Amino acid sequence: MTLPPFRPGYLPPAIPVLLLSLALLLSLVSAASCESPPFGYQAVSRDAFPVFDNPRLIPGAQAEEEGTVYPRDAVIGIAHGGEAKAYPITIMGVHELGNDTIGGVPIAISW
Amino acid sequence: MYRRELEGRVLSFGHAGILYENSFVMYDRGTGSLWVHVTGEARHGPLKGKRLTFMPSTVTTWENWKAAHPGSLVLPGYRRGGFMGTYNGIRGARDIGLAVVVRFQAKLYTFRDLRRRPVVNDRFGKVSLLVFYSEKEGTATAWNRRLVFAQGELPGRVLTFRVTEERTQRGHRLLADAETESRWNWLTGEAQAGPLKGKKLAPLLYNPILVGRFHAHYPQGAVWRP
Repeated sequence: MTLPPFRPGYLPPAIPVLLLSLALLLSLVSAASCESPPFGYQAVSRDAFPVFDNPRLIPGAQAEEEGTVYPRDAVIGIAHGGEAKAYPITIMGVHELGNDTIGGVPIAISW
Repeated sequence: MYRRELEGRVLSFGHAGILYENSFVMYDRGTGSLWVHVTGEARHGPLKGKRLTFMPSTVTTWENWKAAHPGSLVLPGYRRGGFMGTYNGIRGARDIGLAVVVRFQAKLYTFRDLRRRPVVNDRFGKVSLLVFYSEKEGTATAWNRRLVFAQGELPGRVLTFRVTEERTQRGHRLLADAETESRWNWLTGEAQAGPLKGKKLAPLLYNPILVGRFHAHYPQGAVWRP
């Protein structure tokens, strides 16, 4: 069997197809390695939820007046060092997570 | 709810956007380690294997919380109904329980079982504990049944609780201990009347949790059966 003579500028049609599919494959693999976390799965992008940091809390009476919280609303309550704070579930659902302090102790509130 | 301190460092957390066993993963902004928010354990990164300390917190209704803590502040913001939330409203019929954590060991008290036996005088590890469930509020709390002793006092007695028909001004049922017949508020852990008036029970670390999520995160976890 004799090989076709070498002609500069000519590529057998299979080669570009191979190169293209290889590029596609590589991009898929790299995308997967970016997206795939060490455990679990990437449901939303990092920091998609507006995590709060040392928020300014308001007095209970004001919160009721402004419609932030209603009597039958569920809240996560914490009391420590003479301070008490309530994080309404309806509002935690927006943030999912927050950094705060209570009675001088740094806390993370997660929901 | 965690104390975000580790070996003298204060951590601050962001949302990693990862879901693991149906609950989200957080990262600490200092090292980027990934933490499972249900258990407080770092699963990946430089702090892998470290654990955060729980802070006792209670999930209850605002009117309840306000009655127990009239000066409480509130996180402001826009209300949004339960997206990814554990509760379909706190009184929703989803399968919820109370996870009590003692020395990183967890025990589950399902609300379904607590509905039948709302006062549980139990023992878990070396801890004698009280779990109380109020169906009206859909709230459960857990306390150490051994009295905290002040300096000079003998180690505290272990109390045995029952629920009474007596109520607080806010309409909450009072608990009574068989040993002294003092009357206790289950939300604050404080004796309101009787020989132990003014004494407080030590809170345990507990967290309301979906039953399925408990089993996913604590496969070795104990489950209380009435």
